[in-house]
Amino acid sequence: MIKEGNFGPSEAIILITTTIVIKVFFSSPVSLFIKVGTAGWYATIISGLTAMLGFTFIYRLLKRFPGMDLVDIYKESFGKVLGAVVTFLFALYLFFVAESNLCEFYQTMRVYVFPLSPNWYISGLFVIALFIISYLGLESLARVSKLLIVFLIPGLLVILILAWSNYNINNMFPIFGYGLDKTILHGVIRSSAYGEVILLAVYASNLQGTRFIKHEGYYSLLISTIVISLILFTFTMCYPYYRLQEMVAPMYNLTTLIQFGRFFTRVESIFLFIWIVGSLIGISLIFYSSIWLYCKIFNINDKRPIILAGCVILFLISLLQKDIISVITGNVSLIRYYGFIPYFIIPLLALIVAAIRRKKGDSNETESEAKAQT
Amino acid sequence: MKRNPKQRLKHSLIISAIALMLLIALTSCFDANEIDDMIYIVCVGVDRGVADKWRITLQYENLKGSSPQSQSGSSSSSGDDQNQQGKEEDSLKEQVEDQGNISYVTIDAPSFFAGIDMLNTSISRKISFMHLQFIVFSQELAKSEELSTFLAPIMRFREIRETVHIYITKNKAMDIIKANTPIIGTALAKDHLIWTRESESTGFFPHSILNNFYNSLKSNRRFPITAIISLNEMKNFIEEGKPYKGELKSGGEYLSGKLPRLGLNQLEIWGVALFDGDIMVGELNGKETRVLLILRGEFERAFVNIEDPANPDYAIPLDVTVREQPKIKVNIKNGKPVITVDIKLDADILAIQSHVYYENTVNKKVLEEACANRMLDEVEKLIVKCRDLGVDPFKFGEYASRQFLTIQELEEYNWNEKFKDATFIVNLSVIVRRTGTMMKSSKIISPEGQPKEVE
Repeated sequence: MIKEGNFGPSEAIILITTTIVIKVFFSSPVSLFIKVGTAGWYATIISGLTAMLGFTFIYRLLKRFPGMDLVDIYKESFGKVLGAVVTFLFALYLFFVAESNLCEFYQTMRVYVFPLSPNWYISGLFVIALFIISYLGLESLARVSKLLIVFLIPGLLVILILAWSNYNINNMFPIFGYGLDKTILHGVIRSSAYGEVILLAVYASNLQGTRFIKHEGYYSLLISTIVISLILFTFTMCYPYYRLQEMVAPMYNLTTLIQFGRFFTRVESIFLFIWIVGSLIGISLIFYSSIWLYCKIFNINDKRPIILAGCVILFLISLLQKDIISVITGNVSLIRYYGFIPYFIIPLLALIVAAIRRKKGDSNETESEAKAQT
Repeated sequence: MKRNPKQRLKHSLIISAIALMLLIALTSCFDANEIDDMIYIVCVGVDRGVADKWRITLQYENLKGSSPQSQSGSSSSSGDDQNQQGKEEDSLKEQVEDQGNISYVTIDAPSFFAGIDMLNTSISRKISFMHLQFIVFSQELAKSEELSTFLAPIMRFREIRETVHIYITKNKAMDIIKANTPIIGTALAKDHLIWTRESESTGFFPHSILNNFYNSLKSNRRFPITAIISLNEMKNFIEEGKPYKGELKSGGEYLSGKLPRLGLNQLEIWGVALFDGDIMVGELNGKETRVLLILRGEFERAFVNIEDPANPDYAIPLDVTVREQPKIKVNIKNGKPVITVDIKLDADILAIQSHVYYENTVNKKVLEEACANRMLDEVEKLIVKCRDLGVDPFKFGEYASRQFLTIQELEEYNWNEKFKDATFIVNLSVIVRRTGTMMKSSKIISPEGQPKEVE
């Protein structure tokens, strides 16, 4: 049986932030630029703010049911059967997200770095690493992510700073892109880009209590919003909007432009490290969360056989994807535009239903939690 | 928690199995590409083909080391003119005899990628473009609408970096490749890398990289430009004749390939090709190129010759740098653009042929004004020339985009069309900062022992 263990607020923030930010290295920014043009960098701030509002509902829900995680809350709020069904659907959704991210990862890898390697090879190696991480449990994942962030953040900053000679402020204009109305609309809808913050509620019982989860959630969202907005800002400064709409992964293109003199060129290797490690942490967390939810629904204590089976299924399903177009315009687009429903709308519904049904957590738990916090 | 020996053995077996699997998977021995399994193309030339749509010439280092080897040119083509091409090839072989460790191949192919595959059957190494330095297109192609049909698709190709240089040539691209041999050293790629950096110290040609060219091709607010690379046949160098008595030149008046020089390297990168969309519509000489780079904010430094205000027959060479990037403002008045340009330059005196005392405060001002007026005149002439051609290589349209709130408004305005109606206000100032290693030019003493007056 995997011992989940506990981890601190900093690990939780790093884990959630990495999982959210990693999307910006793939095709997500491109679909945003197609919709809002030059306004992408602040459209994502709107998304972040919307996600904060969504997280407020999640926090309210956790506050209503102190000491309980999302699975238990759904069971309490919706009733045992419906709660289990909703959780099962959410687990399936997370599995779908992990699978789509994995497909996007290996397809993009093949486009830019390993054109000759077969899909099964890249996907297979990734799934082996993912299996080992999941096998070691959540605490290991959290600790590893805290260790690697020391390399990830400076690496990212180095890339953004080195690309400064390609920045052109005129690329920021027209400042409203395709119109403020479209920017706000797509900004709100794409709040799903920050939806992984809900995983704090999934692991609520492993964290230090509702008050800590509140801080972890808001800080994760704040940091993610700043980092994503900064990266999109640099994309917009570097490339005109019509070019950004053509690319598969603008971040990789940006790194290939970096050239300082004759010697400091081809810095993609720095980016590759960030890309692969970040993706591994992000996809592992989402995958592990889906397994966690599944085991929780069916009261399975030993997750290891499920992890192994999950990895095999993940690997096989990822190979079923026909092409990169169906991944980007199909799966990823679907997740981005309807992802806010499982991430924010369902918790809001649970909160409303709990209020209507006058369901509440144990008040003793609230008191003991308050004591623990003080 | 202590594990029993059975569990420990189980864990060791699992870890060993994973390690073994990774060991096998990560070695990639069976299909690995060693460095010398590939040939790295350094230059690509593109002409209109005879046997097929495109004539593609690839130049590469043949890994034979730096010692001169036997000739390495080869050409494959089909068609009625094979005999003629054979003759050309013979003369070509003579020309590339000294290339030594450099080879080239030429093929007529329906597309770039088909050409690569066709060539891979006659070259014993896999062709790689990871170290490509430049692509040169013939002017014939650039003046037709075919350039974009070749260039745009290769943007997808991961091996070709967006920092690759793009050139247009008035000669055949194939001839440029044939003549492209390093005069100093043996490394072809290094030679080109250093060469392109001369743009920063002369301003006679721009850094025209694929990324900028492609972005401009698709832009609704700026026009593409490329540097021009030419074969100088050295015909403008007249060895014997009457001494030059004409007006004072700046040195930048020549067009690409026409410099009056003599020497080993036949190639010269000089001037700018102007494009309207994907069609080449004009050419700038060296002097105009410098002004263009100043306006685009890409100018770094150059030696500029100006007429001596006191003695117009003499030149004062100045080392000109930009004090700050040009300030450009575009206002839309009654639907027409009004462009205000503010340029600030610094200059160091390199020489005063007339020995006039320009280092004092009063004369320094005269010199600064003369330089500013001369530069201003060149800026205005260039803007009018480009406006008449209907192209905006200055990227004024990018500044104009600040006047629009949405992309729809910008697209509706159609900058590329409206630029033709633009009016300009140009302000230019020059400050002489340093006077070289001298604070004063004393007059030369004549044989009579008197200070010599300049004519």
